[in-house]
Amino acid sequence: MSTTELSLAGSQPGGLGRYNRQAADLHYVTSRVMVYLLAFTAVSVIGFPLFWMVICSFKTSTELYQFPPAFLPHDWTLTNYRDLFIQTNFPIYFVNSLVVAGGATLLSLVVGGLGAYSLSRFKFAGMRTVSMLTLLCYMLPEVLLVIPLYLFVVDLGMADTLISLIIANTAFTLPLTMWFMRSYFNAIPASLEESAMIDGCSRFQAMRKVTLPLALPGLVSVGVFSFNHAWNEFLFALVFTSSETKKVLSLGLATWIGQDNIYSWGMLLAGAVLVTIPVVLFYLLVQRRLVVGLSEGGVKGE
Amino acid sequence: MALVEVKQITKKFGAYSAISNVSLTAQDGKFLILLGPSGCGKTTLLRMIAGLELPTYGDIVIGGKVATRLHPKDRNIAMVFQNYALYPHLTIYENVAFPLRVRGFSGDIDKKVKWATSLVGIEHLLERKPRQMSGGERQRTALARSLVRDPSVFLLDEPLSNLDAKLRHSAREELRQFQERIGVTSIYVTHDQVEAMGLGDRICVMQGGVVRQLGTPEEIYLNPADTFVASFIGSPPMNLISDEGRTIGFRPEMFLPESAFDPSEALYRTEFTVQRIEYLGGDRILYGMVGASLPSSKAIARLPATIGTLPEVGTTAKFAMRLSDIRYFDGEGKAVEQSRRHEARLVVNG
Repeated sequence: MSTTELSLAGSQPGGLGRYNRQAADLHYVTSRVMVYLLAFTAVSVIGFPLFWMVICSFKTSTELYQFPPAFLPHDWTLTNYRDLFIQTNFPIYFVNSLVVAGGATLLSLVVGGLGAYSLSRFKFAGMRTVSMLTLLCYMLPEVLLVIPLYLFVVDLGMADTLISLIIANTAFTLPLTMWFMRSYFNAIPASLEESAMIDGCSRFQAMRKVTLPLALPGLVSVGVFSFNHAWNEFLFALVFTSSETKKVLSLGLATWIGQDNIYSWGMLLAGAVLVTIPVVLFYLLVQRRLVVGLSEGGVKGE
Repeated sequence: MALVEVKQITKKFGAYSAISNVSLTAQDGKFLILLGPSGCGKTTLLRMIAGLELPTYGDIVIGGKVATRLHPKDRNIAMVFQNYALYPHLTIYENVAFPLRVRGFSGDIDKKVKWATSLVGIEHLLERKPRQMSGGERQRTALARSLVRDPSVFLLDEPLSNLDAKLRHSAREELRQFQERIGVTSIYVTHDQVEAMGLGDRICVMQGGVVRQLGTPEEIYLNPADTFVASFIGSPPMNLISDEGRTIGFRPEMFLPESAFDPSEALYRTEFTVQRIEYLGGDRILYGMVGASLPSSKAIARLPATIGTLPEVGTTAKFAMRLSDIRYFDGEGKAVEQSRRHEARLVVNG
């Protein structure tokens, strides 16, 4: 990029200019090598298990147990997927998971977003305490909360319902949502809303027409975070739900890994692939906004 | 177009009073400047007129209607913010159309937007986003957006302070012409006295949450109400010399070598020891000490280039000023009334 500029800067009579260029080239090459090494490590550590999972979900059961294992399946088969839908409750788990993760995401965006907005824009008594307390909540581990929460859930008659999972997951992601969105709202100048109010908006309209569109990358980031958390969540699901029709994916798949034997590796892997797909799709969908949201952490008002 | 009256406004933030019992009137169709150092309460006052802050005591009346508790959108005012507050996610066209859209304007929005943008000369930039525009263009966009719906009052919060010095000068010029053409009551906040003098029909000088003086630029410059106004307005500021519980003030450009005056004029003569000379092209600024009949103290003289011979640095020269150019302030810094001036003058001469 800057090799020519560098050599120009040092283009004294004699070999100085050339020496600079060599140094710059060397620097460029080594930094490239480092970047690719890092990328390769990341891809192999994260990517290979994914690859293996996808490949094996298309193998027949004999091939799965074959030693030494073959890289690519000899006969590509969809039996695992077919069995998954016919023999198991996988579709029910899947829908339950979508309901829980979607509900928790929506709820934590609405509640967390509004809460963060008021923490950022208004002044009220005990504001500092409230915001510190929310952060404290986030530091408590799930294990600590799960039993007391279960008692509440039973008392409220919500045991073995998806609603209880939505609420519990929301409660867990809410503090982070609020803190992240608060700093995001803080970075959006209040004068934009004031200007909108003078231009003819009510406060709510000003928030909806001006602040929310600007906060969209932040909302997307916390949305992805909430969705992911709820999608992967296991402990609450294990304690709060018991009947087969109320199980979510993480719990359902885990019960297939029995005490002494695996029910079917092929179906388990096919299930794992299908669990991964929504998350990957969701990421791809919002990727551009997510990158902006995480790296900028705010928008300049002008 | 409307008259804006501020009636005995006080604003407290906790125990701190940002504004104490301020009353003033912005006349219909005129340009009123709120001028003062930072923290004097001028922006707070403007925000209360806009409806963004609620006064602790007092009332704001816009066009004969008490507006103290009205929501900003119901006051029919427009405001240009210091950072212009353009909506970054909207194009220039949509920014200007925004006030019309949210108010459910029934007429031809497109025509209004074209009209407003051509008034400020940005009609060729309508498809851009604010961040693709220069500071001057953003400022014009903010102007266009605020006038597109014919507001009755125009509020401006230091709209030129983000522009560079050269642009600021031409923008000031344009702003003044523009205001005269549309004839809307305008209230303009600034800390820059040059802007204030150049733009205002009337200037309200504020300090520490109170109004120090309200008057035309000439009145404020020639007859400052107190020593604060005297030293805040003018560059370099008025020379203030304390003498036996009074203060004598004179403008640096009125303080010239004795030879520059007609000997028949009524002059006050003194001596001036020059310590440093600053060359500014058109003017020379002389820093030094006055002496002789006045208590020895620092003073500044501003000599136009038409005065050829300058005293050397380190020498003492005979300087003078017209008696009519001298201002007197009492022990508390308040200007001494016209009727009492004669008496005070005799004391100085004696």
